Amino acid sequence: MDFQIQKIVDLNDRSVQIVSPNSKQMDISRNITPVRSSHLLRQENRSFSFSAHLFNSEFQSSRHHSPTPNYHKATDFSGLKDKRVLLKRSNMTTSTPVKEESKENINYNKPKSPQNLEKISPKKPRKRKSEEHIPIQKEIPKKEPKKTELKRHKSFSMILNQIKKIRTRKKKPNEKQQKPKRILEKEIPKKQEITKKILEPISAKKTKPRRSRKIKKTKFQKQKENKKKETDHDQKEEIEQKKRFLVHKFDEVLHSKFALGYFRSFLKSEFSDENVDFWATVQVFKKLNKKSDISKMAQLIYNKYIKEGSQREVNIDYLDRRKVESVFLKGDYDKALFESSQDKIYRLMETDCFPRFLKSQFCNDLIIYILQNQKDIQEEWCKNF
Amino acid sequence: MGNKNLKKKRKEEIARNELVEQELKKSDLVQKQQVKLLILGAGDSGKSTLLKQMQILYKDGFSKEDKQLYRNVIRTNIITYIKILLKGVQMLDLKLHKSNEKIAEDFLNLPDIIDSFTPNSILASKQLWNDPAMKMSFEKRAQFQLADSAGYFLDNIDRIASENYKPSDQDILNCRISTTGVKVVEFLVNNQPWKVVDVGGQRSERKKWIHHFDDTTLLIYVVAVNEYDQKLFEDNTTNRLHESLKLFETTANNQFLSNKNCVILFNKTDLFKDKIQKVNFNKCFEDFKGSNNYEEVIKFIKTLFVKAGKNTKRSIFVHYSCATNTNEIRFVFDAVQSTILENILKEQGFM
Repeated sequence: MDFQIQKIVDLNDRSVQIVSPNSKQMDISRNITPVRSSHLLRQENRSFSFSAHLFNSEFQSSRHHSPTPNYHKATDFSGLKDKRVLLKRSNMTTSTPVKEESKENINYNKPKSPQNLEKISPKKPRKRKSEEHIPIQKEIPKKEPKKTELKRHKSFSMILNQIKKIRTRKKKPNEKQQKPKRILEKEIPKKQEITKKILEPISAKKTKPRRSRKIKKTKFQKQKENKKKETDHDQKEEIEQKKRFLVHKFDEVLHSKFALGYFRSFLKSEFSDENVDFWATVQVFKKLNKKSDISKMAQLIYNKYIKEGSQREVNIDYLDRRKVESVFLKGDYDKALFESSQDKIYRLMETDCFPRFLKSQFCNDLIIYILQNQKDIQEEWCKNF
Repeated sequence: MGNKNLKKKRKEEIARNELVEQELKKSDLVQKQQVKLLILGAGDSGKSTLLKQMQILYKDGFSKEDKQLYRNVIRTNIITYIKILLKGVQMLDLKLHKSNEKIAEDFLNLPDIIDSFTPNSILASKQLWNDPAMKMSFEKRAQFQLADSAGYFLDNIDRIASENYKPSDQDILNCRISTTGVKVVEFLVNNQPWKVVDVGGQRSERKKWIHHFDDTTLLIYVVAVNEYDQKLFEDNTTNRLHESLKLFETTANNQFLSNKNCVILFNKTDLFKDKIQKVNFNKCFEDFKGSNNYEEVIKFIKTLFVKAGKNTKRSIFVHYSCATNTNEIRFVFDAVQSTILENILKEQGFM
């Protein structure tokens, strides 16, 4: 029976940890999210998996090192809710031992005076009032078990209410004398260190300098910052200049090997990369010489990009589609088969996608890449860059 | 010893967890505060025009580079329009004036590149546009695919052909560039971050829409009411308004959008007013049994769409507009703002 109870309490622990005070709503929502279709909610899912990972690690550690042996008493102290959950979850079989415990407690504690207990833990008995067993107020365990219970209480409260207590402690100076808070005090610097480590990239400005060093550093920093600003400004201007140069270089970008990659990844972010792929495959198709190759390739292109309802269907009008289909019925494959539709797609990319590409981050990356590797690039259009 | 280390680790983990949760909370807040508008609709209904209007209303208009781009696009578009009209002339067995026949032949051989917009081609296109046969084919443009803005640009050809031509906002709004993929633009409207999603409307583009269905606050569905006698760009057989209605029915009842509020924008009403006097609405919608009158027809279309999207979980707002008119669109977006506010209040439980 004991074993069963432990298991249940274990469960309880986890549930408590998951629903730690800050995260109640979010955790619940995240647990529900997987019901929705996954690929549509990419961002949410990312965050979900990330947090789940953290939670998992917590679970594991709690399994191994949480104070498992004395659960029953600990649950007594953790308040009503746990007991209720216990009763609910364990139904008839497990509910009986809990009652037995409480009876035992009553027997032990009868001789002791109720006043001491009330001084030490005034809040806990109040909770018990609402329970069925009213006498517990007067009869509470001896001093020795109290200490252990206090420790257990710490471990639970640490998990449950750590953050809250830390916050409240700063406001209330009287509480410093008590034991549990000392332990918590030690934790604070550690926490801050951790936060520094984690948040360094995000809030480096806030945490970095101490007062004494501030004055010295600021001069350096100012100089550095000014330099940085200048360089950034220069770089921005340079990039904008190069952008003006790129405006008329759509054809060159499409024909160059490395620039096409940047353009394609931009289109992928807008879900229109099938246009570039179609254009490129037709470009390959035009260079074919063998008749058998041409017919094979033509069928491939038709099935992939032009057939109505195909997976990567390209946005062309009915005239072009009809042209291609009529050729397919005859079986005469020509090198110029896809030329008109390729032209249309080319125009579409030139007028719609390319101007947006110039404004995107992908274009900045491309320009920086060209500036850095100008010597190695052998394509002609980059030489006057 | 081992226990101490493990305890340390555990504390670290707890602290890290706390941090991560705080950041998640922040990002959640940002997401909740952000308004996401989805602009959907069939092809050539005016979705991107709406986005351009937002650029004028809530940002500082168009930059020099934009204007340069639109200038080139408008000029190349004029050549393609003339080509399409010439093909229409051939299709309808109309006869051009004898002096224009040669020019037409040369014109059809021009490629669709900006360089082909030379002084010669301008003169030629002007001459052709004044030919009565071309006007006839323009009148019957519903039989082939011609953009709605063709008339506007061909009438203004003199201004566009001049060397110092700088496209006005009206020109840019009328300029048609078909969209591929999904573009997301962010605006600040009354200190509220708006994320506006514009999409391509053709059939092949629609499967990309679903990537942005989640977290929408408001769906704006654009219908071009003037296209009731036109055929689809994709297959030239199905009626555009029928297609638009079907599309609305499927998207609005999608599981991600079925409980979102919806604005239906009946667009291109100015062209519709012209067309309704010439083309009988009854030909395209046999169910319609009213008189061929602007108000009655639009009422009929409205009931069709509202019926298709009706749902107990949401409310549908209907607006009539001409997307190239900035004042009308400003009014529409003011209404949209108020509905978004209403949404937020409802979520917070104030209403």
